[in-house]
Amino acid sequence: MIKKILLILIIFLLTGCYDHKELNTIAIMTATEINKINNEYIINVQVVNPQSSDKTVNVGSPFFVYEGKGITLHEAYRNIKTQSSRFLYPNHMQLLIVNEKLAKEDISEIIDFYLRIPDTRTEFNVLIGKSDNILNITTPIDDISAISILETMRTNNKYLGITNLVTFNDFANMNLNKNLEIILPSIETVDYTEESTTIENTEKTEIKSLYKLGNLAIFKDNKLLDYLDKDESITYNLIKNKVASILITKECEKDKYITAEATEIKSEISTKNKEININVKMSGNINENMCNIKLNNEKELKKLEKELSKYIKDKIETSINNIRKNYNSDIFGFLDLIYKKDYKTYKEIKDTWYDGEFQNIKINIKSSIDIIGKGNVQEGNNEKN
Amino acid sequence: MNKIINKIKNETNNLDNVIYRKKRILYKDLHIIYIDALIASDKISDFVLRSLNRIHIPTYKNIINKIANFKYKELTTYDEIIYYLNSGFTILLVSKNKYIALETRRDLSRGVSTPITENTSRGPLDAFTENIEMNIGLIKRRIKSNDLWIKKYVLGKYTQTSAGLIYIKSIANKDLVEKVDTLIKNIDIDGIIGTGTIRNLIEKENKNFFPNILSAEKPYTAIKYLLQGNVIIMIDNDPFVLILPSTLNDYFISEEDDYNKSISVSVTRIVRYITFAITLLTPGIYIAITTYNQEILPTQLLTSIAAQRENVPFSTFVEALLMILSFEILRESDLKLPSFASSAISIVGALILGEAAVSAGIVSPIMIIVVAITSISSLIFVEPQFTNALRIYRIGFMIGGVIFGIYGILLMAILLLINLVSYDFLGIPYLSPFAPPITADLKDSIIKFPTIKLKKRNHLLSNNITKNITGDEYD
Repeated sequence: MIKKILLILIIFLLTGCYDHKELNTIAIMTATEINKINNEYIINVQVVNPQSSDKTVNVGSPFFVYEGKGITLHEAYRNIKTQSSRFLYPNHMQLLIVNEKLAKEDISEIIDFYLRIPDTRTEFNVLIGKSDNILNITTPIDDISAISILETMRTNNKYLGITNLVTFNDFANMNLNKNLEIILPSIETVDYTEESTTIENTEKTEIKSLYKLGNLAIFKDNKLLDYLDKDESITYNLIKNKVASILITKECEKDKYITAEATEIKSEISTKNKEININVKMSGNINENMCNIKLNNEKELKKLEKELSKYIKDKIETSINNIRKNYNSDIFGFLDLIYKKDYKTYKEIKDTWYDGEFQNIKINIKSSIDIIGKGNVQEGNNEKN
Repeated sequence: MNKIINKIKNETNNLDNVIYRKKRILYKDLHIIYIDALIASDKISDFVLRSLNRIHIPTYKNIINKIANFKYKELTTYDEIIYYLNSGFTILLVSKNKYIALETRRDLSRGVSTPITENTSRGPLDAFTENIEMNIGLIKRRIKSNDLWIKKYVLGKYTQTSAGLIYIKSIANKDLVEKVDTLIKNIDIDGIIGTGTIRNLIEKENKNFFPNILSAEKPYTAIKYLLQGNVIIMIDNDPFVLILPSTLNDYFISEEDDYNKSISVSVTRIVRYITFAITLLTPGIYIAITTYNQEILPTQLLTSIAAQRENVPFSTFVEALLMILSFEILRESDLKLPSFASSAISIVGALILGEAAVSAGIVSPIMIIVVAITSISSLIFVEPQFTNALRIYRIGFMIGGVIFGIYGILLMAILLLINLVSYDFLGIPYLSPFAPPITADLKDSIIKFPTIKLKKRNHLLSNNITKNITGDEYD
């Protein structure tokens, strides 16, 4: 018995308690914003004010933002400890916002830091900040802005398909894989004033200042080139299977539109004989029908499906061609696809990929839409005319 | 004969409860001895004295022939006289070495009443009493077979308590019965007061914190286990019987299960097993998560927990220990106090523990929730030994959690499993029917199969593994 007790006591001597931290000794960090000015990193760290969950007493804003400076990122984080009474707990970091000025120089140096330190998860999302001080803005409903931004990104991606969520893992992967180029979502502030950072900003029904999600930011060789436009962003998400539903608005007569909501979107990319084949399938509901197309007529419906399919195909085609022409950056990962499926061709073309091969590679696009929902108004609503 | 009377007078220090009477029949003195406190006076006058009056020739055979008591015993030695005298018999000293003990016991036990510890919503409501003969009667009433065998023992140097080992001969495992038999025979103790003493003597007391012997207050439960092949130990003066051996799974089975459909019983059993995990693990996991592994909580939940912990001066472990301690104090005082005072306890407990401690900032509201769910969960197990074992392991899990975090919880879980798996009692592994798997009993464990499909008995418990069961089988 004594032996057993001794054995148990030895366990306690081995280790233990080494990373013991009580909840009221940590500051939960939800987001970081990185900028670089004059070769010095400036980070803004958003920290949750735990007392603000208690709605009965007025205890200040729901979160605070600390600013730290340093030649390296770690130093900048450490320097925050000169201001914060608590240990910055990084495991709950949700967002990393990289300022576009830093992104235009070189984004790869920040990857190293977050890959190396053991205490952050690599599941946080990375964005490009088009303006400064995004984290300072107070937000309505979800009062911690990092969570608010994240949820906005999720809904946007799900119902609009313009932005997408890039976790740090994906980001690092795009950076480390030499056949891929980086593409990141972006965010900016709207009407930023001093008042945006106070609680009063969210106390009125009319919200003066808020953030706004932008289009996707396109990179080449780890440098930010430019931002895609709306159609190009959607096209990227469509091809990469990163969107749940999109809206298709097509002009059917002059100044009259038909709107379809496409769901169950599925796209496949394959390669054969130095050609890229893209096959996009989706099903959709007609939500608006201004041209009075008779949807319960099988022929009309088939015709509409065909028109919409062609419309989608054209959109994708022009978007891809624009991206190829304007940026010459292989964000779709065509080269990576060839590398994986057709190594012979890859060896042949890899050296000249950006010297003409990427521009000239033949891309075959097929698209089809299957309309399943026509709404309750079968005939169209303009029967009287 | 005077020698015997003098000896008794000597040994009892001339106790005036012992009554000596002389009755003279045909030149012969018959001595009657009884203890006032134990006998029923009407039995003495009706059966003993009146029948003696009808005897004209006082020979030993004649007396036995004419006596009206339904139960008598022929005695020859002094020790026997003392035993029966103390059991409430009336002793007739006829001649040398020829003594008769006549049953004249006063009924000192209460009648059959409803069970106090085992609540039932359906099913018979009679419970065992303090009288062993009555208890045997309650069992015999339900098993009208010659296969119900009872071995009798007299235990305790001073108490001379009668005990019984009850089993169904054709079902119970012979080896098991013999093992229990030798265990009981080996008991040598000054006094057996109740089943608690015998229980601690039979099982290896602290080898396993969980109990290996089930105690039952209801004949219903006893019969149920007898039919499975378990044996029962009964002690005079104790309304609880011991059912042995028991396994972990037995503590998750309740009498009500027999009155419900197997599908709803399965749901209840799953709930009970979940409750088992909740009551063991909740405080430990809470401590581990809030002091080490904060990353596994969703951010919103973490911030809300952090907000509640903000003004608490103690560490989570101390906070949990305080709350669990105060709950244990409440429970203990509730058990000891008579029922008319328990409302005072519940008011104090609810107000002080629930309300004031939170508003005073000593504990966080979430800790109250944690301790409350833990305590409520532990109360679904009726066997106090089981609840106590849970309590020990719960604190073990808390210590594991505060030293190593989730890793410590896992360590403790492994320790618990090792302890449970390695223990067996009377040849029945404690974790059976799970480890080793015993198909017959697995069908009545977490998931209960329809009664018609339970055709086998546990082969470790029973020699006769096929149950007699037929009926309309369905798929």
